Amino acid sequence: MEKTVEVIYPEEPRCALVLLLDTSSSMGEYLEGARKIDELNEGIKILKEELMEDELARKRVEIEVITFGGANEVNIFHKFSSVDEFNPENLKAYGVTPMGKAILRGIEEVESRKRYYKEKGIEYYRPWLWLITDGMPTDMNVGDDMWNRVVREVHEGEKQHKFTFWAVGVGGDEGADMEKLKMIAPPNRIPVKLKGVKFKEMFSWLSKSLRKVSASKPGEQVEFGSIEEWAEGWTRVDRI
Amino acid sequence: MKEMKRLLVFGASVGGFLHEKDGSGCQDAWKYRYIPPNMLIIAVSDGAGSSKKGELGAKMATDCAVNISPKQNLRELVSECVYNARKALEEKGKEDSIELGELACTLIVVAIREDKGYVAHIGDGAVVSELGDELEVISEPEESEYVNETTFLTDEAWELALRVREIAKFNALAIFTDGIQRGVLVKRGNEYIPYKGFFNPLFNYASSVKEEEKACKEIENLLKSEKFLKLSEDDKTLVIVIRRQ
Repeated sequence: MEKTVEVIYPEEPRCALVLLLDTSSSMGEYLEGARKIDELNEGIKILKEELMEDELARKRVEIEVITFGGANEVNIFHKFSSVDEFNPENLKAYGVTPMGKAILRGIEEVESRKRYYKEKGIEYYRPWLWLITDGMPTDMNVGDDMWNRVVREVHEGEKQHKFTFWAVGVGGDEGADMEKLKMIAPPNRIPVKLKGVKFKEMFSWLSKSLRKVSASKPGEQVEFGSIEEWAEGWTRVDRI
Repeated sequence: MKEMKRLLVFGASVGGFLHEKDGSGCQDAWKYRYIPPNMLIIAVSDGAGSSKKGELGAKMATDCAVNISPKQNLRELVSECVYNARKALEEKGKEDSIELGELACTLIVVAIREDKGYVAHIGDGAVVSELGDELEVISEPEESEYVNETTFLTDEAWELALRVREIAKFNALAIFTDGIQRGVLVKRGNEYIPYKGFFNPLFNYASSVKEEEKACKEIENLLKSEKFLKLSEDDKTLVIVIRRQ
Protein backbone atom coordinates (compact mmCIF):
# COMPACT_ATOMS: atom_id res chain seq x y z
CA MET A 1 0.00 0.00 0.00
CA GLU A 2 2.96 2.24 0.68
CA LYS A 3 3.58 2.38 -3.03
CA THR A 4 0.05 3.05 -4.16
CA VAL A 5 -1.07 5.80 -1.78
CA GLU A 6 -0.03 9.38 -2.43
CA VAL A 7 0.08 12.26 0.00
CA ILE A 8 0.20 16.01 -0.56
CA TYR A 9 3.11 17.94 0.85
CA PRO A 10 1.62 21.27 1.86
CA GLU A 11 3.57 24.51 2.19
CA GLU A 12 5.38 24.95 5.47
CA PRO A 13 3.37 27.01 7.96
CA ARG A 14 4.79 30.53 8.34
CA CYS A 15 5.87 32.43 11.40
CA ALA A 16 6.02 36.17 10.64
CA LEU A 17 8.31 38.53 12.53
CA VAL A 18 8.24 42.30 12.10
CA LEU A 19 11.17 44.23 13.55
CA LEU A 20 10.21 47.82 14.36
CA LEU A 21 13.57 49.55 14.62
CA ASP A 22 14.33 53.00 15.90
CA THR A 23 16.87 54.61 13.53
CA SER A 24 16.64 58.13 14.98
CA SER A 25 19.85 60.12 15.44
CA SER A 26 20.34 59.02 19.06
CA MET A 27 20.87 55.45 17.83
CA GLY A 28 24.10 56.77 16.30
CA GLU A 29 25.46 57.67 19.72
CA TYR A 30 27.92 55.67 21.77
CA LEU A 31 26.91 53.62 24.78
CA GLU A 32 29.45 51.66 26.80
CA GLY A 33 32.08 52.27 24.13
CA ALA A 34 30.04 51.10 21.13
CA ARG A 35 27.75 52.80 18.65
CA LYS A 36 24.25 51.54 19.24
CA ILE A 37 23.35 51.37 15.55
CA ASP A 38 26.48 49.30 14.80
CA GLU A 39 25.61 46.84 17.52
CA LEU A 40 22.03 46.68 16.25
CA ASN A 41 23.31 45.90 12.75
CA GLU A 42 25.54 43.14 14.12
CA GLY A 43 22.65 41.77 16.15
CA ILE A 44 20.45 41.49 13.07
CA LYS A 45 23.15 39.39 11.40
CA ILE A 46 23.15 37.06 14.41
CA LEU A 47 19.39 36.68 14.07
CA LYS A 48 19.78 35.56 10.48
CA GLU A 49 22.71 33.24 11.17
CA GLU A 50 21.00 31.47 14.03
CA LEU A 51 17.70 31.06 12.23
CA MET A 52 19.55 29.63 9.23
CA GLU A 53 21.01 26.93 11.46
CA ASP A 54 17.58 25.57 12.28
CA GLU A 55 15.96 23.47 9.60
CA LEU A 56 12.36 24.24 10.53
CA ALA A 57 12.82 27.91 11.45
CA ARG A 58 14.65 28.49 8.20
CA LYS A 59 11.65 27.26 6.25
CA ARG A 60 9.00 28.83 8.43
CA VAL A 61 10.13 32.20 9.77
CA GLU A 62 9.56 35.27 7.61
CA ILE A 63 11.10 38.60 8.52
CA GLU A 64 10.19 42.18 7.73
CA VAL A 65 12.09 45.26 8.94
CA ILE A 66 10.34 48.59 9.46
CA THR A 67 12.52 51.53 10.46
CA PHE A 68 11.47 54.84 11.98
CA GLY A 69 13.67 57.94 12.04
CA GLY A 70 14.74 60.60 9.55
CA ALA A 71 12.34 63.44 8.89
CA ASN A 72 9.38 61.69 10.50
CA GLU A 73 9.84 58.69 8.20
CA VAL A 74 8.54 55.18 8.54
CA ASN A 75 10.04 52.84 5.94
CA ILE A 76 9.72 49.22 5.06
CA PHE A 77 13.44 48.68 5.01
CA HIS A 78 13.10 44.99 4.19
CA LYS A 79 9.84 43.54 2.88
CA PHE A 80 8.69 40.16 4.29
CA SER A 81 10.97 37.41 3.05
CA SER A 82 12.24 34.01 4.06
CA VAL A 83 15.27 33.90 6.36
CA ASP A 84 17.34 32.85 3.36
CA GLU A 85 16.51 36.02 1.48
CA PHE A 86 16.89 38.23 4.52
CA ASN A 87 20.10 40.21 3.88
CA PRO A 88 19.33 43.76 4.96
CA GLU A 89 22.00 46.39 4.48
CA ASN A 90 23.30 48.22 7.48
CA LEU A 91 20.92 50.69 9.07
CA LYS A 92 21.91 54.33 9.46
CA ALA A 93 20.83 56.57 12.31
CA TYR A 94 19.44 60.06 11.84
CA GLY A 95 16.42 62.20 12.55
CA VAL A 96 13.41 61.96 14.85
CA THR A 97 11.40 59.09 16.41
CA PRO A 98 7.99 58.52 14.73
CA MET A 99 7.29 55.43 16.83
CA GLY A 100 3.50 55.74 16.76
CA LYS A 101 3.30 55.62 12.98
CA ALA A 102 5.78 52.75 12.90
CA ILE A 103 3.74 50.64 15.31
CA LEU A 104 0.54 51.21 13.33
CA ARG A 105 2.37 50.32 10.12
CA GLY A 106 3.71 47.16 11.71
CA ILE A 107 0.22 46.09 12.78
CA GLU A 108 -1.10 46.75 9.24
CA GLU A 109 1.75 44.70 7.83
CA VAL A 110 1.07 41.62 9.98
CA GLU A 111 -2.64 41.80 9.19
CA SER A 112 -1.97 42.01 5.47
CA ARG A 113 0.55 39.16 5.67
CA LYS A 114 -2.05 36.97 7.38
CA ARG A 115 -4.53 37.79 4.61
CA TYR A 116 -1.90 36.76 2.07
CA TYR A 117 -1.32 33.44 3.86
CA LYS A 118 -5.06 32.78 3.94
CA GLU A 119 -5.45 33.50 0.23
CA LYS A 120 -2.60 31.14 -0.56
CA GLY A 121 -3.93 28.46 1.79
CA ILE A 122 -0.75 28.64 3.87
CA GLU A 123 -1.11 27.91 7.57
CA TYR A 124 0.61 30.21 10.03
CA TYR A 125 1.61 30.95 13.59
CA ARG A 126 0.70 34.10 15.47
CA PRO A 127 2.99 36.86 14.14
CA TRP A 128 5.48 38.71 16.33
CA LEU A 129 6.07 42.45 16.46
CA TRP A 130 9.40 43.32 18.03
CA LEU A 131 9.94 47.02 18.83
CA ILE A 132 13.38 48.43 19.67
CA THR A 133 13.73 52.09 20.65
CA ASP A 134 16.16 54.29 22.52
CA GLY A 135 14.04 57.39 22.68
CA MET A 136 10.66 58.98 23.14
CA PRO A 137 8.06 59.02 20.40
CA THR A 138 8.09 62.34 18.54
CA ASP A 139 4.82 61.76 16.71
CA MET A 140 2.54 61.37 19.73
CA ASN A 141 2.08 62.48 23.32
CA VAL A 142 0.34 60.70 26.14
CA GLY A 143 -3.40 61.14 25.69
CA ASP A 144 -3.48 62.60 22.18
CA ASP A 145 -5.41 60.92 19.34
CA MET A 146 -2.39 59.17 17.89
CA TRP A 147 -1.30 57.93 21.31
CA ASN A 148 -4.75 56.59 22.14
CA ARG A 149 -5.00 54.83 18.81
CA VAL A 150 -1.59 53.19 19.12
CA VAL A 151 -2.25 52.00 22.68
CA ARG A 152 -5.69 50.71 21.73
CA GLU A 153 -4.44 48.83 18.68
CA VAL A 154 -1.54 47.22 20.53
CA HIS A 155 -3.61 46.23 23.55
CA GLU A 156 -6.64 45.02 21.58
CA GLY A 157 -4.48 43.19 19.06
CA GLU A 158 -2.60 41.36 21.77
CA LYS A 159 -5.80 40.57 23.64
CA GLN A 160 -7.47 39.21 20.53
CA HIS A 161 -4.37 37.14 19.73
CA LYS A 162 -3.83 39.01 16.47
CA PHE A 163 -0.10 39.19 17.20
CA THR A 164 2.43 39.04 20.01
CA PHE A 165 3.94 42.43 20.82
CA TRP A 166 7.33 42.87 22.48
CA ALA A 167 9.03 46.17 23.33
CA VAL A 168 12.70 46.65 24.14
CA GLY A 169 14.06 49.96 25.44
CA VAL A 170 17.69 50.90 24.89
CA GLY A 171 19.64 53.21 27.20
CA GLY A 172 21.81 56.23 26.37
CA ASP A 173 22.11 59.90 27.30
CA GLU A 174 18.38 60.10 27.59
CA GLY A 175 17.51 56.58 26.56
CA ALA A 176 14.14 54.98 26.08
CA ASP A 177 11.29 56.32 28.17
CA MET A 178 10.44 53.05 29.90
CA GLU A 179 7.34 54.51 31.57
CA LYS A 180 5.83 55.50 28.24
CA LEU A 181 6.88 52.23 26.69
CA LYS A 182 5.09 50.44 29.48
CA MET A 183 1.88 52.29 28.67
CA ILE A 184 2.17 51.28 25.02
CA ALA A 185 3.17 47.64 25.51
CA PRO A 186 0.43 45.11 26.27
CA PRO A 187 -0.24 44.79 30.01
CA ASN A 188 0.58 41.07 29.92
CA ARG A 189 4.04 41.65 28.48
CA ILE A 190 5.81 44.59 30.03
CA PRO A 191 8.72 46.13 28.10
CA VAL A 192 12.27 45.07 28.71
CA LYS A 193 15.29 47.34 29.16
CA LEU A 194 18.34 46.22 27.20
CA LYS A 195 21.54 45.77 29.18
CA GLY A 196 24.02 48.19 27.58
CA VAL A 197 24.37 47.31 23.90
CA LYS A 198 23.70 43.60 24.20
CA PHE A 199 21.86 43.49 20.90
CA LYS A 200 23.62 40.31 19.82
CA GLU A 201 22.49 38.47 22.93
CA MET A 202 18.97 39.80 22.47
CA PHE A 203 18.75 38.67 18.84
CA SER A 204 20.19 35.32 19.76
CA TRP A 205 17.40 34.91 22.32
CA LEU A 206 14.87 36.04 19.71
CA SER A 207 16.12 33.45 17.22
CA LYS A 208 15.96 30.68 19.84
CA SER A 209 12.43 31.68 20.76
CA LEU A 210 11.27 31.76 17.15
CA ARG A 211 12.84 28.36 16.64
CA LYS A 212 10.67 27.06 19.43
CA VAL A 213 7.53 28.80 18.21
CA SER A 214 7.96 27.64 14.62
CA ALA A 215 8.24 24.03 15.77
CA SER A 216 5.28 24.17 18.15
CA LYS A 217 2.22 21.95 17.89
CA PRO A 218 -1.41 22.59 18.78
CA GLY A 219 -1.81 23.27 22.46
CA GLU A 220 1.89 23.36 23.02
CA GLN A 221 2.96 26.03 25.47
CA VAL A 222 6.24 27.40 24.30
CA GLU A 223 8.58 28.07 27.17
CA PHE A 224 11.22 30.68 26.55
CA GLY A 225 14.69 30.78 27.99
CA SER A 226 15.82 33.37 30.52
CA ILE A 227 16.43 36.89 29.21
CA GLU A 228 18.86 37.65 32.02
CA GLU A 229 21.81 37.81 29.66
CA TRP A 230 20.51 40.86 27.82
CA ALA A 231 17.69 42.34 29.87
CA GLU A 232 17.94 44.46 32.98
CA GLY A 233 16.20 43.50 36.18
CA TRP A 234 13.63 41.21 34.64
CA THR A 235 14.36 37.65 33.89
CA ARG A 236 11.12 35.85 33.49
CA VAL A 237 9.18 35.69 30.25
CA ASP A 238 5.71 34.24 30.38
CA ARG A 239 4.79 31.41 28.15
CA ILE A 240 2.62 32.36 25.24
CA MET B 1 -21.67 -12.20 16.49
CA LYS B 2 -22.14 -12.74 12.81
CA GLU B 3 -23.94 -9.43 12.41
CA MET B 4 -21.20 -7.49 14.22
CA LYS B 5 -18.40 -8.90 12.19
CA ARG B 6 -19.80 -7.28 9.12
CA LEU B 7 -17.75 -4.31 10.20
CA LEU B 8 -13.97 -4.61 10.22
CA VAL B 9 -11.81 -2.13 12.14
CA PHE B 10 -8.08 -1.70 11.83
CA GLY B 11 -5.57 1.06 12.35
CA ALA B 12 -2.42 2.22 14.08
CA SER B 13 -0.89 5.07 16.08
CA VAL B 14 2.79 5.81 15.53
CA GLY B 15 5.11 8.35 17.14
CA GLY B 16 6.52 11.22 15.11
CA PHE B 17 10.28 11.53 14.87
CA LEU B 18 10.44 14.69 17.00
CA HIS B 19 8.84 12.84 19.83
CA GLU B 20 10.97 9.76 19.38
CA LYS B 21 14.08 11.88 19.41
CA ASP B 22 13.27 13.33 22.81
CA GLY B 23 11.95 10.00 23.99
CA SER B 24 8.38 11.00 24.68
CA GLY B 25 6.93 8.17 22.57
CA CYS B 26 3.54 8.42 20.96
CA GLN B 27 0.87 10.74 22.31
CA ASP B 28 -1.87 9.57 19.96
CA ALA B 29 -4.17 6.75 21.02
CA TRP B 30 -7.07 4.81 19.55
CA LYS B 31 -9.46 2.19 20.82
CA TYR B 32 -12.54 0.38 19.61
CA ARG B 33 -15.17 -1.85 21.10
CA TYR B 34 -17.93 -4.06 19.74
CA ILE B 35 -21.02 -3.94 21.88
CA PRO B 36 -23.31 -6.88 21.17
CA PRO B 37 -25.49 -7.35 19.38
CA ASN B 38 -24.65 -4.83 16.68
CA MET B 39 -22.86 -1.72 17.87
CA LEU B 40 -19.34 -0.51 17.19
CA ILE B 41 -17.62 2.40 18.96
CA ILE B 42 -14.26 3.85 17.97
CA ALA B 43 -12.32 6.60 19.72
CA VAL B 44 -9.25 8.41 18.40
CA SER B 45 -7.29 10.99 20.36
CA ASP B 46 -4.23 13.19 19.95
CA GLY B 47 -2.51 14.07 23.23
CA ALA B 48 -1.11 17.62 23.29
CA GLY B 49 2.59 17.61 22.55
CA SER B 50 3.91 19.65 25.42
CA SER B 51 1.47 18.90 28.18
CA LYS B 52 3.25 16.58 30.54
CA LYS B 53 0.53 13.97 30.60
CA GLY B 54 -0.82 14.34 27.05
CA GLU B 55 -0.11 10.69 26.41
CA LEU B 56 -2.04 9.61 29.50
CA GLY B 57 -4.86 12.00 28.58
CA ALA B 58 -5.26 10.50 25.11
CA LYS B 59 -5.09 6.94 26.44
CA MET B 60 -7.66 7.59 29.17
CA ALA B 61 -9.96 9.56 26.87
CA THR B 62 -10.13 6.73 24.32
CA ASP B 63 -10.48 3.99 26.96
CA CYS B 64 -13.28 5.82 28.75
CA ALA B 65 -15.07 6.99 25.60
CA VAL B 66 -15.69 3.42 24.40
CA ASN B 67 -16.57 2.16 27.86
CA ILE B 68 -20.29 2.93 27.69
CA SER B 69 -23.61 1.15 28.07
CA PRO B 70 -25.47 1.03 24.79
CA LYS B 71 -28.65 3.04 24.30
CA GLN B 72 -31.13 3.46 21.53
CA ASN B 73 -30.39 7.04 20.51
CA LEU B 74 -27.02 7.00 18.76
CA ARG B 75 -26.66 10.76 18.65
CA GLU B 76 -27.03 10.93 22.41
CA LEU B 77 -24.76 7.96 22.88
CA VAL B 78 -21.88 9.42 20.93
CA SER B 79 -22.04 12.65 22.97
CA GLU B 80 -22.19 10.59 26.14
CA CYS B 81 -18.95 8.90 25.12
CA VAL B 82 -17.27 12.31 25.01
CA TYR B 83 -18.81 13.32 28.37
CA ASN B 84 -17.51 10.07 29.86
CA ALA B 85 -14.02 10.83 28.64
CA ARG B 86 -14.13 14.39 29.94
CA LYS B 87 -15.41 13.21 33.34
CA ALA B 88 -12.66 10.61 33.58
CA LEU B 89 -9.99 13.22 32.87
CA GLU B 90 -11.49 15.61 35.44
CA GLU B 91 -11.43 12.85 38.05
CA LYS B 92 -7.90 11.84 37.15
CA GLY B 93 -6.81 15.45 37.48
CA LYS B 94 -8.31 15.70 40.97
CA GLU B 95 -7.00 12.30 42.04
CA ASP B 96 -3.41 13.04 41.01
CA SER B 97 -3.62 16.76 41.90
CA ILE B 98 -2.61 17.80 38.42
CA GLU B 99 -4.08 20.53 36.31
CA LEU B 100 -6.64 19.29 33.82
CA GLY B 101 -4.70 21.06 31.04
CA GLU B 102 -1.82 18.64 31.53
CA LEU B 103 -4.05 15.86 30.21
CA ALA B 104 -4.93 17.91 27.11
CA CYS B 105 -6.04 15.88 24.09
CA THR B 106 -8.41 16.04 21.14
CA LEU B 107 -11.14 13.41 20.73
CA ILE B 108 -13.08 11.85 17.87
CA VAL B 109 -15.74 9.24 18.71
CA VAL B 110 -17.60 7.29 16.05
CA ALA B 111 -20.58 5.09 16.91
CA ILE B 112 -22.12 2.79 14.31
CA ARG B 113 -25.14 0.56 14.46
CA GLU B 114 -26.18 -1.20 11.31
CA ASP B 115 -26.61 1.47 8.67
CA LYS B 116 -26.57 4.40 11.06
CA GLY B 117 -23.64 6.26 12.48
CA TYR B 118 -22.69 9.40 14.37
CA VAL B 119 -19.43 11.15 15.06
CA ALA B 120 -18.62 13.47 17.99
CA HIS B 121 -15.49 15.55 17.62
CA ILE B 122 -13.40 18.08 19.57
CA GLY B 123 -10.27 19.65 18.08
CA ASP B 124 -8.34 18.78 14.95
CA GLY B 125 -8.13 15.52 13.01
CA ALA B 126 -11.01 14.42 10.73
CA VAL B 127 -13.37 11.67 9.55
CA VAL B 128 -13.79 10.84 5.84
CA SER B 129 -16.36 8.43 4.39
CA GLU B 130 -16.52 6.50 1.14
CA LEU B 131 -19.57 5.27 -0.73
CA GLY B 132 -19.12 4.03 -4.24
CA ASP B 133 -16.68 6.53 -5.73
CA GLU B 134 -17.83 9.35 -3.47
CA LEU B 135 -15.51 10.65 -0.78
CA GLU B 136 -16.90 12.99 1.85
CA VAL B 137 -15.47 14.80 4.88
CA ILE B 138 -17.96 13.90 7.62
CA SER B 139 -16.21 15.83 10.37
CA GLU B 140 -13.50 18.37 9.54
CA PRO B 141 -10.63 19.68 11.66
CA GLU B 142 -11.75 22.47 13.97
CA GLU B 143 -11.30 25.90 12.47
CA SER B 144 -8.52 27.79 14.21
CA GLU B 145 -6.55 30.75 12.97
CA TYR B 146 -3.11 29.59 14.01
CA VAL B 147 -1.48 26.31 13.11
CA ASN B 148 -0.44 25.65 16.72
CA GLU B 149 -3.88 26.19 18.22
CA THR B 150 -6.91 23.95 18.62
CA THR B 151 -9.54 23.16 21.27
CA PHE B 152 -8.98 20.25 23.61
CA LEU B 153 -11.33 18.05 25.59
CA THR B 154 -9.74 19.56 28.70
CA ASP B 155 -10.47 23.19 27.72
CA GLU B 156 -13.13 25.20 29.49
CA ALA B 157 -14.98 25.74 26.21
CA TRP B 158 -15.01 22.03 25.32
CA GLU B 159 -18.80 21.76 25.23
CA LEU B 160 -19.05 24.67 22.80
CA ALA B 161 -16.39 23.06 20.63
CA LEU B 162 -18.13 19.67 20.54
CA ARG B 163 -19.50 18.91 17.07
CA VAL B 164 -21.85 16.01 16.43
CA ARG B 165 -22.51 14.88 12.87
CA GLU B 166 -24.55 12.14 11.32
CA ILE B 167 -22.77 9.63 9.13
CA ALA B 168 -24.90 8.76 6.13
CA LYS B 169 -24.65 5.44 4.35
CA PHE B 170 -21.03 4.40 3.85
CA ASN B 171 -18.82 1.54 2.69
CA ALA B 172 -15.75 2.69 4.53
CA LEU B 173 -14.61 5.35 7.01
CA ALA B 174 -11.20 6.78 7.76
CA ILE B 175 -10.59 8.48 11.11
CA PHE B 176 -7.28 10.26 11.58
CA THR B 177 -5.35 12.77 13.66
CA ASP B 178 -3.61 16.04 12.91
CA GLY B 179 -0.34 14.29 12.07
CA ILE B 180 -1.59 13.14 8.66
CA GLN B 181 -4.42 15.62 8.08
CA ARG B 182 -2.42 18.03 5.90
CA GLY B 183 -1.25 15.25 3.64
CA VAL B 184 -4.69 13.80 2.90
CA LEU B 185 -7.07 16.78 2.92
CA VAL B 186 -6.87 19.67 0.48
CA LYS B 187 -8.01 22.99 1.86
CA ARG B 188 -9.87 25.32 -0.51
CA GLY B 189 -11.01 28.46 1.25
CA ASN B 190 -12.71 27.12 4.35
CA GLU B 191 -13.56 23.77 2.82
CA TYR B 192 -11.65 20.50 3.12
CA ILE B 193 -11.60 18.09 0.21
CA PRO B 194 -10.42 14.48 0.61
CA TYR B 195 -7.38 13.79 -1.56
CA LYS B 196 -8.29 10.98 -3.97
CA GLY B 197 -4.68 9.99 -4.50
CA PHE B 198 -4.64 8.91 -0.89
CA PHE B 199 -8.15 7.69 -0.12
CA ASN B 200 -8.90 5.72 -3.30
CA PRO B 201 -5.93 3.33 -2.97
CA LEU B 202 -6.43 3.21 0.80
CA PHE B 203 -10.08 2.15 0.61
CA ASN B 204 -9.26 -0.13 -2.28
CA TYR B 205 -6.79 -1.94 -0.06
CA ALA B 206 -9.26 -1.88 2.85
CA SER B 207 -11.91 -3.67 0.80
CA SER B 208 -9.55 -6.61 0.36
CA VAL B 209 -8.73 -6.97 4.07
CA LYS B 210 -9.61 -10.27 5.70
CA GLU B 211 -7.70 -10.13 8.96
CA GLU B 212 -7.77 -7.09 11.21
CA GLU B 213 -4.44 -7.84 12.84
CA LYS B 214 -2.50 -8.04 9.61
CA ALA B 215 -4.17 -4.90 8.34
CA CYS B 216 -3.18 -3.03 11.53
CA LYS B 217 0.43 -3.88 10.78
CA GLU B 218 0.01 -2.67 7.22
CA ILE B 219 -1.34 0.71 8.42
CA GLU B 220 1.48 0.96 10.94
CA ASN B 221 4.06 0.37 8.21
CA LEU B 222 2.37 2.95 6.03
CA LEU B 223 2.46 5.61 8.77
CA LYS B 224 6.10 4.81 9.47
CA SER B 225 7.05 4.96 5.79
CA GLU B 226 9.28 7.67 4.36
CA LYS B 227 6.26 9.24 2.66
CA PHE B 228 4.59 9.92 5.98
CA LEU B 229 7.73 10.75 7.92
CA LYS B 230 8.40 13.49 5.41
CA LEU B 231 4.87 14.78 5.83
CA SER B 232 5.10 15.78 9.48
CA GLU B 233 7.13 15.18 12.58
CA ASP B 234 3.94 14.71 14.57
CA ASP B 235 2.38 11.52 15.92
CA LYS B 236 0.04 9.91 13.43
CA THR B 237 -3.10 7.83 13.79
CA LEU B 238 -5.22 6.32 11.04
CA VAL B 239 -8.17 4.01 11.72
CA ILE B 240 -10.31 2.39 9.01
CA VAL B 241 -13.79 0.93 9.32
CA ILE B 242 -14.99 -1.16 6.43
CA ARG B 243 -18.32 -2.74 5.79
CA ARG B 244 -17.75 -6.27 4.59
CA GLN B 245 -19.90 -7.07 1.57
